[in-house]
Amino acid sequence: MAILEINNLKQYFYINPPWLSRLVSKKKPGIIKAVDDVSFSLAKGEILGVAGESGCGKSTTCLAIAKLREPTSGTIHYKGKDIAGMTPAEIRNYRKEVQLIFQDPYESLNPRFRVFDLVAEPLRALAVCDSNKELTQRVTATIAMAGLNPKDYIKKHPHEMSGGERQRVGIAQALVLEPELVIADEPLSMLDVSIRAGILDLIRDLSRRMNFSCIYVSHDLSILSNISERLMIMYLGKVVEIGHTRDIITRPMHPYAQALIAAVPIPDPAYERPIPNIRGEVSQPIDPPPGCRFQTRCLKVTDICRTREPSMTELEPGHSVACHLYT
Amino acid sequence: MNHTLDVKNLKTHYSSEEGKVKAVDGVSFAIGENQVFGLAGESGCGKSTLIRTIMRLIPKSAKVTAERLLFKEHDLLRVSDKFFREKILWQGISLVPQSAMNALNPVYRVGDQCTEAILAHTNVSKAKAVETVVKMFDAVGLQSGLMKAYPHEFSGGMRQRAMLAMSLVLSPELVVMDEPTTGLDVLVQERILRNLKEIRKNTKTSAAILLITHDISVIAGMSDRIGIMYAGKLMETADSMELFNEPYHPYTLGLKNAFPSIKALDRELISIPGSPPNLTHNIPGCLFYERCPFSIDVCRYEKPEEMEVLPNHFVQCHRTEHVMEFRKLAGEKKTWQFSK
Repeated sequence: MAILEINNLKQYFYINPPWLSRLVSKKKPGIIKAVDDVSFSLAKGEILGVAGESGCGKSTTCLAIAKLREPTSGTIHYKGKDIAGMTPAEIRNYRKEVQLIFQDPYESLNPRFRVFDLVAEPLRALAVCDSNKELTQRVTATIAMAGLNPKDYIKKHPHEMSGGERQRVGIAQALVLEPELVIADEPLSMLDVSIRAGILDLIRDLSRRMNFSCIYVSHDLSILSNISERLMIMYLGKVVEIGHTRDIITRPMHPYAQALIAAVPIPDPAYERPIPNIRGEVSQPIDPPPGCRFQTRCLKVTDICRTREPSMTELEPGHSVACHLYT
Repeated sequence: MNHTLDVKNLKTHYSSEEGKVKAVDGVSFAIGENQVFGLAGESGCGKSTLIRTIMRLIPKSAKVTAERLLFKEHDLLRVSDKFFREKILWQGISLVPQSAMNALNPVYRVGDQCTEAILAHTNVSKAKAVETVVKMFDAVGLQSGLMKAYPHEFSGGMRQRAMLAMSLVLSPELVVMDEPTTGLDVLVQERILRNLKEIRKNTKTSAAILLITHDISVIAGMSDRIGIMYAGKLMETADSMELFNEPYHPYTLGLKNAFPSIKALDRELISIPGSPPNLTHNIPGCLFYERCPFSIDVCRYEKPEEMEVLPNHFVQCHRTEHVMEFRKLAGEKKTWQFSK
């Protein structure tokens, strides 16, 4: 059974320019459709990769799932329960089971806390442990699991550690509550390449051992191709393609997915890169035109793309695309 | 062969409260005319300090020494600041700074900023300068109408392209690029790198390029020659193909395994244990010793000399004669699981 079911999630932001700029520069009120009608589900123990350019709504989707922002419409069901209608006690429990790993380990750790307190904080805040002994045990066990030797690290402050060590502390913070769902938003982008593989391995190993599901957000397809089992590609608030990672990387169907994958740099000087089939630049999802969001940049655009929005079509089991080319 | 930039044993040492920081410590390389030299390394390895040294952008307190630091026939260690600013900057060497996205002046129109660079350094008329900028904008794929726009009206990729245009308006012989695509989306990054290649092919401005990044994938597709920098030293320097096909240094071997690639979905990634050394410490031996799986006693106590293992392929390692064995072992995960 799916642990997370998201149906028709929409997150709109309304821009209301102040009267002076409305008068002077003729700015009109508009709607930013940051996330527009996104549906997907996540199975127990699965790692789902979410890819897309900046501004495609991948982080906004995560915020809605983490219940840090009320969506405009749509539902998020966690273990069959709608998270919008939860009682305070249920919300408390939800916060315990859904955890975030942040992008920047240089910013997300309190500089005045020692590692022990950083990792103990979630347990204390949610009053999980009955005794101090249990707390100490859980904290040291989690720190060890994150690949740091508790003896050397529990007394350290964040500034005494390297980026990779800090990100391991960030992971320990997220995992100390033994969550069922982990949302990782670009956890590697601030780290050096030589240590990235280690953190990636850690997340994968722990997801197997602790059997948590994971939504892994990144703009780097080479990293996603390595860690995620399924892949979801977003463009301006819409899901354009979702399926097994291998299927999408080797046989992308949507013109946007094809361009995105063609643009990924390959660490091989002999590789001859094809020119991605795309024009223009990504715009903002403000008052989008009718039809497909990708119409302005697509080289295979037809009349129907300008009038009707494509819906998700399942081309093969578990591989769906939103494009008129395949309907 | 004529070198556009010739660096021999360059050292830049900062002094700090904790002692001397050897940010760049004995780096030697040369960039030929029309060549793209890629410099790769982790953060803190001294790659930015290296180019700041060349561009004279480091604080006065830093100590710079070198056996040779030649740009064409000019000795960059000797020329006066005035000469450097008036004759070498922009016309000889131009810089695309890190996060070029924020390098434009927010209160000037983008076109004016590019024109200003020409007018400040040459005696051409304003009309002629504008014409050059229009041409350059066209070459990087920006419409000439955008010259009237302010930086905030540009997207990140457009700003980066404007910086690229600006660095090329005076046809310099060397363009230094510090992480030119970091922070940009893959499609934008691809477009900028393709622009750069096209410009080099189509126009007469066949400048040499010094490209600095932490992303080996970016360098692989762009460079003729690559230097791998670690803790202030150039560990390995070779032509791109040779560096990828016949790497010698254990660090290069490790980096190759640490990079994910969508062309090798089944390959297991292997990270290099540990982290770079603190550059204030006085380390007697090889700087990679702590993280190297192939080190022996001599590595700990003696600094390796730079050796030419193949023609024009330089490595700083004590154990290059065993490289065949190392290349095999480096692909196995257990090789890298150790602690010292």
